[in-house]
Amino acid sequence: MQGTRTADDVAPERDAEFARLALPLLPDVARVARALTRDAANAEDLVQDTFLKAYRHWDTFQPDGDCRRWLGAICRNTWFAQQARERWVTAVGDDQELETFAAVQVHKLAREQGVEEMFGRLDLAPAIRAAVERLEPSYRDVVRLVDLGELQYDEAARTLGIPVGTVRSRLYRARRQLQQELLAFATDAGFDAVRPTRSPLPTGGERHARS
Amino acid sequence: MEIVRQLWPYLDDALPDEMRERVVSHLEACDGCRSHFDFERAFLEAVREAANGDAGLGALQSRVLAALSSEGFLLPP
Repeated sequence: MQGTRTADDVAPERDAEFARLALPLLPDVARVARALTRDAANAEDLVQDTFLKAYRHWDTFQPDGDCRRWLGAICRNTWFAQQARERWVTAVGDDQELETFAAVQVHKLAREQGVEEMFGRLDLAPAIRAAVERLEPSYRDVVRLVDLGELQYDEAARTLGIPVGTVRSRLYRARRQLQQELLAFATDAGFDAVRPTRSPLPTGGERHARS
Repeated sequence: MEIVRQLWPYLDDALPDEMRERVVSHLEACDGCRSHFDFERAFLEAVREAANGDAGLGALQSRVLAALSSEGFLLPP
C-alpha cells in the first residue's frame, strides 16, 4: 500500500463527517421510508439499510453534494430493488385544468381571508397530519409517495400500479382538499394576517424548490 | 393559465428543462403567478415538515447507530 495514511488513519475523520452530514437526516429518511413502505416495521428496516449502504459507500458522496437527496435516492433505490417487478401503465388523460383553476381559487380565498401565510406556522402541523389521515385512501397513498416519499410521478404510478395521469389527478385533487381543510382550520383558529414575504426563486432541480 | 398549470409539476421536479426555464422566467416577471407559486411551495413544505414531527425517531436512531457500529462506525464524542 502506497502513502503514509492508512484506512485506520482516515476512519475517525470519515466517521465524524458521516455523523455530521448524514445522521442528522434520519428524520427525513424515516419519512421517505414510511411513505414508501406504508408499514412501520418495514420502514425501520429500510432506514437501517439506507444508513448502512450510505456508510459503506460514503466515499462516493461528494462533499459539496446534497446529502438529503443522496440519502433519499439510496432509500428509494433500496426499496425498489426489494420490490417485485410491478406492472407498468402508461399515462391517460386527467382533469389538470380543473384542478389548476381550483388551486388558484383556494389561494385567492386564503389571501382574502388574511391567512395566505398560514403554511409557515408550526402550530398547523397537527392539523396537516390529521387532514392527511382523513384523505380517502387512494388519495392519501399518492400524497404519501410523492409529497412525503419524494417519488417522481412515474415511480409512484409504478408503485401503486396506476397510470401516471391518475397519480397526477389524485395528487392535485388531494392537495386541493388538504388546502381547503387547512384554510378552514386557519380561518376558524383566527390566524393573524401576515404580509407575504418573497423568497428567491430556485434555479431548479431541488425537490419542492426549498429555499 | 398555461404557466399556472405547470406549477405543481415544476415544484415536483417533473418538467422538462425547456418548460422549467419558461416557468422560471415567467415567475420572475409575473407577480400574480409568483404569489400563487409561493403559496403552493409553502404548502408543500408545511406538509413535509408536519410529517417530520412524528414521535418514535429516538428508538430508530439508536437502532441505526447500533447497526452502523457493527460496520465499524464510531460516533464522534
